[in-house]
Amino acid sequence: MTKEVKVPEGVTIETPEPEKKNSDSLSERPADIRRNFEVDPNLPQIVFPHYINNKKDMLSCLLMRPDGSCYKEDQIPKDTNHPVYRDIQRQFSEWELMVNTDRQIHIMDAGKKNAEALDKDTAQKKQRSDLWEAKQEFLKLPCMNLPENKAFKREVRKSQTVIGATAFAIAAILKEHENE
Amino acid sequence: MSEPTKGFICAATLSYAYYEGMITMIESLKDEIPDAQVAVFTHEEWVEDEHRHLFDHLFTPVPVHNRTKLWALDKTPFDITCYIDVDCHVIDPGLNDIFDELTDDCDIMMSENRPYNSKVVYFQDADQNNGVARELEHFNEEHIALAKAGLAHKFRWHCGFFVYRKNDTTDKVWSEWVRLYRLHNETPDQSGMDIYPKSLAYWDTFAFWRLLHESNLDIKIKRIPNDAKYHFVTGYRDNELKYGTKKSVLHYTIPPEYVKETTIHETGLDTTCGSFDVLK
Repeated sequence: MTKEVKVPEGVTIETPEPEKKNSDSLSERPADIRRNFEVDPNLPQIVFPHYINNKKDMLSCLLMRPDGSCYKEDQIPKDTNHPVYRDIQRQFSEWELMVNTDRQIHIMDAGKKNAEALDKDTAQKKQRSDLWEAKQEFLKLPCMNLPENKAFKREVRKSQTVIGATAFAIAAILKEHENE
Repeated sequence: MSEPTKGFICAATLSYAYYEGMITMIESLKDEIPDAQVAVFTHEEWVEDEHRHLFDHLFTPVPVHNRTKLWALDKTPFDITCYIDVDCHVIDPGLNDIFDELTDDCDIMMSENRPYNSKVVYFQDADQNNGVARELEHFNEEHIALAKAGLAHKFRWHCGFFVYRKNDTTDKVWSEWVRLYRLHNETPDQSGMDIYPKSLAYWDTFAFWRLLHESNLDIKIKRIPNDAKYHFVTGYRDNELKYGTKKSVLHYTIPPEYVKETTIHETGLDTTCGSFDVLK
């Protein structure tokens, strides 16, 4: 059932425009893939062109020679006077460039994450062995065998940082000198 | 019926760094639990008179091997034994409660690995990955997804600290552990690794995993309740520990360079693992 409402004079109600899809959502865009372009088979094939800066005015791609060897072409300006960009533009749509750029960002993020995790693993292992090494040195000190330093000796063992262990080792050394 | 005997065992062989670690570990244990019974497996030539008072039982000669512990487990003089790695410090007498944790319905109680704090936890055998066995990374989301989907194996148990009852089953478990470790490391081209990643051969944790995975022994094994209280590895998050409880053991890593520097070098001896056949 349709209801009619009277609006004040001079006021209009317009039907809203259909909501626009988020332009960042590449997966929902219609695929715009270049298919009909001419290529010179003697020239290197352009592989995986993508933007390399936020401004999206520089590109990078791989160039594969007819013999199969590859090299990376970096810093290609988005300038139709540049021969490589001209060829990229002929063979790839903007949509394809954006998809590749997204893929590249994802690959770089994953690599960064892995490198960080590896660094963390190495750092954790080093922290464990550094703490052990420091504590062993402190526990070997002759002053650690004094009965009055027993509490400090236990604190050295309990410490979870090298600095903490060092503080209690120094306290034990000072206690020994107090007695002299 | 008499009370079962209870005590700790540890092994320090192949590298003198382990012996030094063992001395500080036992000193810390006896400082916290003065009447703790300790059985030690080490080389006679390393034992100094000033340390003998720390050892209630001393076993020599023993294999010049970095996994002598596997060989030692069935030789424990105690009815209930707590095995402890030598790169640990005991920091609270609460450790003594470990013997009460071993309930009648199980033979072995262990602590669990925390993937975020372990080098290798997940791996795939060749059948799970198109013929290529590989280690997986605990920080790689795709690898974790494989583990969650049941397409990878996981080392559940940490083998650096556990408590067990001496009986026929555990005796068989320990000798099988030695057999598998030797199979992985002493067969030509590591063919004993079968469908598993060869890079895992060095780890006793892997041999233990395989034992549980393939053996038909009726092994009753459980997780130690509040395991972080008894075995807190440096790097664990503090919230691993139940509120109101104290850490009783801190576990570290002896710097590998120092282990290497103080390793026994003899002709015919593998300097990484040593040999189960050479006793000292």
